Order: sequence, then C-alpha cells, then structure tokens
Amino acid sequence: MIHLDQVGKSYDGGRTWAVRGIYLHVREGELMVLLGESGCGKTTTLKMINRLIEVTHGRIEVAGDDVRDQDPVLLRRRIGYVFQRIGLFPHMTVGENVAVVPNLLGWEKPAVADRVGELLAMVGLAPDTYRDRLPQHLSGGQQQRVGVARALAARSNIMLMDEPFGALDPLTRASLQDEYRRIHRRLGLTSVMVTHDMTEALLMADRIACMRGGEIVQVGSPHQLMTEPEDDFVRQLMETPKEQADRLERIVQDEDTDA
Amino acid sequence: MDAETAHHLAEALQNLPRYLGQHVLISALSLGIGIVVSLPLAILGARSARLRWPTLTAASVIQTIPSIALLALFYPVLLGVKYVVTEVLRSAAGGEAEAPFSALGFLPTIIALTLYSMLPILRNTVTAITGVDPAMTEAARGLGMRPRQVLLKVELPLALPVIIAGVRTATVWVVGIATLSDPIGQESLGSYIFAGLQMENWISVLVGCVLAAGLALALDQWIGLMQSGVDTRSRRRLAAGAVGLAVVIGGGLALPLVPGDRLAALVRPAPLAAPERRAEQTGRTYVIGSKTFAEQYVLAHAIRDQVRAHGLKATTREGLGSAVIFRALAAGDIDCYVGYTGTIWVNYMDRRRAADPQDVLTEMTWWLAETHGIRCLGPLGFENAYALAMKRDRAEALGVTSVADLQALAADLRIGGSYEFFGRPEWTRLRDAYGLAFAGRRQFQATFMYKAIAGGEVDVVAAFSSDGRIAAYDLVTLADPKHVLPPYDAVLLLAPDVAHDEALVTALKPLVRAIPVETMRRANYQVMRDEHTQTADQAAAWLRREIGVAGK
Repeated sequence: MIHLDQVGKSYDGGRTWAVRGIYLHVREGELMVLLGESGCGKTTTLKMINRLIEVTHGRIEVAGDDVRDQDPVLLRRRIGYVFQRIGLFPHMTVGENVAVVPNLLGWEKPAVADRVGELLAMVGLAPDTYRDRLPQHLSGGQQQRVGVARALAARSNIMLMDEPFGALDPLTRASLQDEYRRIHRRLGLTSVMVTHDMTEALLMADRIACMRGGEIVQVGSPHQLMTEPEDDFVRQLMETPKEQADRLERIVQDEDTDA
Repeated sequence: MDAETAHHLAEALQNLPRYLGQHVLISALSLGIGIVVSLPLAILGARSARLRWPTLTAASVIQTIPSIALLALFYPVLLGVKYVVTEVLRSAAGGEAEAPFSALGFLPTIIALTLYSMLPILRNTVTAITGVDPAMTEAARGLGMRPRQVLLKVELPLALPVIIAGVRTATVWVVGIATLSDPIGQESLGSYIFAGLQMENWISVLVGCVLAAGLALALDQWIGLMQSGVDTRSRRRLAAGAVGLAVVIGGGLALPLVPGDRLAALVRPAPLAAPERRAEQTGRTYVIGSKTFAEQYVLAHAIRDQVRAHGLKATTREGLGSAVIFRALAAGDIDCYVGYTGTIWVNYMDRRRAADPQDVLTEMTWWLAETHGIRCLGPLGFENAYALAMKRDRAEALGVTSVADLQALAADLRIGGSYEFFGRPEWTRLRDAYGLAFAGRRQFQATFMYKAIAGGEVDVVAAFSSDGRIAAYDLVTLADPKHVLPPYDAVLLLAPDVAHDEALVTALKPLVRAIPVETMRRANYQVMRDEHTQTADQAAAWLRREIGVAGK
C-alpha cells in the first residue's frame, strides 16, 4: 500500500543525511510503527510520505503511484494525518475542525454535517454536545479524539500519525490506543504511526520499524523483535519495557510478602 | 450662557457640518486606503524577510517625521506633480489643458494621513502572521490546504485580533493627526483649533478638541465591539459594531447636507445687526485665503463679504501656512489673499537689504506680475511689520528706545517670538547688525507670547506693528535705526487667472489704501482681547462699516 525505496533526505546537498537508505513496505490493512529515539529520522520519514517534506533521494509509492507525480495538496487530502501537538484550529468549532477536509474537497453541506456526526460518534464524543464547542473547552484526550476524527473525515484509508498520544496522560493514552486499534481494524485502514514509546509500539503495532541515526535497523512483528533482535540496539530497545514490567511485578510481589 | 459665548457657539455650530463632515471623510478615506495598501504589503512582508525589513523601516521613518511637516511636505511635491501633468497634457492635447486636481488641501492630506495609518497596521499584521504557531500552519498544510487557503482559513483568522488592534491604533492616530490638516488648506475639526488658538476663542478650541476626541473614541469603540464579536464568535456583536461604525462614518459623510444656519440658530440669541442685503450672487466662487493669525482671518472675512456685496460668490480658505499660501495663490488654488511686502521681498525675491517702502512696493508689484502672473492690486493702507517691543516701564527703566540700545543689555535679557520669526532671515540680520546675544530665546504661539512678556517670562518680544495687543499690554516698539527690518505693507494679491477679472477688481478696489493702522489694530483687538471677544465675522463687519465700504 505504501512503499519506500532507497529513500533519503539531506538538507545540505548530500553532505549529511537526516534519513538515508530507507526501504519499507507497508501492507494494506497494516499498522506500521516507526520506533526510535528523538532525532532518529522517524518523523522526517513519515512526512515524506505525504510530501510535507520532499525526498532528496529514492522514491515513495502510495497505492501504486509515485507521490512525486501527484499534486502534493491533493495527495494530502487523500491521506489522513494526526498531529503530534494535536493541531486543532482554535478559531474553529469541533464540527468545523472535523469538516476541514470534506469542505476542501467541496462536499455538499448536508453530507458534511452527516459525516461530522458519524465521526464524532465513532470517536466517542456525543455529536450534539461537542459539535459546536471550541477545542479549548475540551480535555486533551477529547481534543485528540477530534484530531483522529478530522484525519478520518474524508474517508481516507491511509493514516499517518506523528506521536499522536504523546501529550496525553497515561490513562487517556491507554484508552485511546485501544480505540484507535479498533477503528483501524474496523475501517480496514493502513496506518503508519511514529512513536518513541516502546510500550505503545509493542501494544499497537502489527509490525515495527526500528530506526537509529536516520536508518532502519530492523523491521518485524513485536514478537519477532523481542525474540530475535538483530543487534544490541534493538535488544536494548525491546528490553526496556520488559525490565519495567519485571520491576512492576517485583513491587507487586513485595507488597504481597509484606501483607 | 452670555451673549458672547452664544455668538462663539453659534459660529462653531455654523461650521459643524463642514468641519466634522470633512474630518470624517478624510479620516475614513485615509484609513480605508491605509488598510487596503498595508494588508497585502504586510502579508508579503510576513512571507519574505527580505521585504519585511525595508517595508517596516520605511513606515517607521515616516512615523518619525513630525506630522505637521509631513502634511506640509506633500504640497510642494504635488505642485511639482501637477506642473508635470499639466505640461504633458498641454503637449498632448495642446491649448489650456490643466491637470485635473488641486495640490492643496484634500490630496496632500489624504496622502499624508494614509502614510501615517500604515505603520501600526503593517507592524501588527506582520507580527501577528509571523507569530502564528507553526504547528497550526503545518496542520493546515498536512490536511491539504493550498498556500492561499492556509492564509485565508488559518493564518489571517488567528492573526485577526492583533491586526484589528493595529487598525484601532491607526484610527486614533489618524483622527488626531487629521486636525493638523488645517494649515495646508483642508478643513477639519482642526480648523476650530487653529482659528481658535489664533483668536483666543477658547470655545472654538474646546469644540474642536472635544469633537476630535469624541470621534476617535466612537470609532475605536465600535471597532472594539467588532473585535470582541470576532473573539467571542458572536455574530450579534460583530454586526452591532459594524452598524455602529457605519452610522458614525455614514452620518459624518452625510453631515454637510445639514444646513449650518439651522444649527447656529439653536443657540444664536438675536441677530447681531441687520444682515447686510446681498446682491444676487452669480458666476464662479472666489476663494479668499488667510494665513494663521487673527488679522488674516478678519481681513479674509471682510474681503469675502466685500466680494459678496458686489453680487459675486465667495468663500474663505483659512489658516494656510505662510509658505503654502503664496504657492496656493500662484497655482490658482486660492484667488486672493492679503500679503505683506516684506515677506515677499525677503522670502521670495530673496533681497537682503531693506529699502524705501515705496520702492519695495513698486519693485515687488513688477516682480510678482513678471515671474508669477500675480497682480498686486495695491496696499490696504497699513503696515504689519515685525518690531521688537518691550514693556513700557521696563524700557524706560533700562533707558531703551531703539534696538541699538539692546546690544549692551542683551546678555541679561530674554527674547520671545513666534515660531516663524526666528526662522526668518530678518531675525538673523537684525541679530547680526546690532550684535544681539540674548540670554535666552523662547518660541511662542502669538497669543502666549504677549502673555509671556506681560508676566515677565521674557523681556523683549518680536511683535507685529498692527497688533492690537501692543497698546493693550502697554508695550513700546523699538526703533530700527539701521533700517534692517524691511517694510511690511499689507497688499491685496490676486491669482494669475483672476488678475484681470473686472468684477472682482471692481469689488476689491474700494479696499485699497482704505484701512489705517489704527483701525486695523482695533479690529484685531476685538477678536484677541480676553473680554467681550468678537468673532472674525463680527470684527470684519465692524471693519467694513468703519472704513465706509459696507452696504446700506
């Protein structure tokens, strides 16, 4: 569905590379996570898919077409995008935010209104209550629900998500992660999500691409990465959540012993 | 309300539709143009740093030019433009074609005010757009907005509160600065202030200030209501603000349709005197100019009434700056004004030596006709020269009777004069010829200059010989034994295209050599004194009766 071949990005004419030699194939219906520490090039890779950043080298295909052959604006309208800092427009109501892309595509008004209601319900916000509110009057979790609804509005079946749940408190994050997986599966979406949170990657991904220093180190399912890490970096990366889980386990056992 | 106050108020109300209407017109038009020009410039500036710096710097530099200078600067510039356009039209169409605009009044005012309005709008808009959170513009691009849509749907709406704040600042500035358009011949609420200051008519000054402040406040508040409508997404507030704004501007523009006589009748106690019967007025309207001091206002009104009494239409254009009025006459923007021989001799003919008054008059008359086509119809009969004056008791105590006596004493004395005086060549020559080095020098508006010498703040003033206040404040004028100061005979000057207008010349001839200096001083004092001050109209009527030219 999304295919990156020898993709590279340089901001100084090829002397240094923010991202280089990326080969990645995202299958239809798959939730692919780009995992790595900050500055490893995962967000750059994500933004090259909808041409928010242009590639310096290599080619990217979306649904079989080279993205460089397409009007970037029309390309972006076909691809849903969920932003790191949520990015709702504060001067527009919740309903207007969700309706941005359908309006850009010139949908009829009643169709837009129906779609807004449908999506707010899907992300768990009662349409009649929330449609006319301003984003600033919503909690962080509610805001990102609107962000997801906005990305889905034009019935795109491809979603790009840049650390979508990073700004949320742990409880809200967990429930949104679950809900997004459900929506992803129900609508048959193909999603690429960027995160630096190992636990989030392991819990949500069909496959994970681990990145370091602008390159992909290993691609595989959570199970593969945990059981067959190809190098020390990946092993360390995968052990962090395991170690945390062990420590939590010990705390629980200590409490039991005390009692 | 006593009768005097009532007369002043009636006069103020008489002019209200014109002054307020013009003020609203020039303010609203300049702001409108300012917004239309500044917004695109600011948007380009927000996009390109290379454009931003020169734009904002230019706007800042304009802002540092004193407003009254900026307004005055455009008059000579436009005269030049008009000359070029006229030449081009004549070479193209031939004959008597003329550029279809006046370089005086409206046009330079609009240009200067527009420039003034631009800085706050430019600066706020650039700041607001560059200050929009980059996450917002990236979200807009990521969702598939084109650059234009990013600007219109995201950047401008988010920047709007700050942009409107800039427009509000510009509004208050422009309404305030518009009062300064009076000296370049544009009527506005400033005409109340300038004329009032010159003639110590505080009611007029107050009316001008209160109305200008009120207008600025009203516009600012209605725009503020619109802004809060945008902020709170309340269509009702937005609409209320827009309607309020439209009512103020529309009302102001429609105001000139209200007859001022009706307004004046509301407070005018009783007719001053039986109104002079005017002959049926026909033909073109003659424009009588006046400079910015009381004598000029009185004379302009007297000349206007004199022209009207001969069945011609006439109006006045008051409070023109000294440098502006001569060019305005040469360019035909005004038809007639009272000049002074010394001013033309020194400023325009660039003569260094003073000379016999009769020679000056003859040579000046010839020079005006030769070089500008201006006709000097003749002297009015009095002189309004610069003369150094001191309080009588002070002069006697120090034994001063002439400027020469000041040389030894100057180091302990302070001199006061008008803004114009110290900038004139006469002052330099007087100072050098008599070796005067005063202990201090202060500039005053004429009204305050006399109060300053009366109060002992200065010891010597550069007074005007026809000023009624010389006698009133018991001042003595000092002799000029070296004849440094040129003669300043008041003369009637006619613009080139009316130089041989028989009807006008016939109407004005009776004024030639008809006004003795004593009569002029008394007329001047009527509008200057602190008690029982008269309006310029009243003094003009008195003057014409006194010299026997008023109709029966």
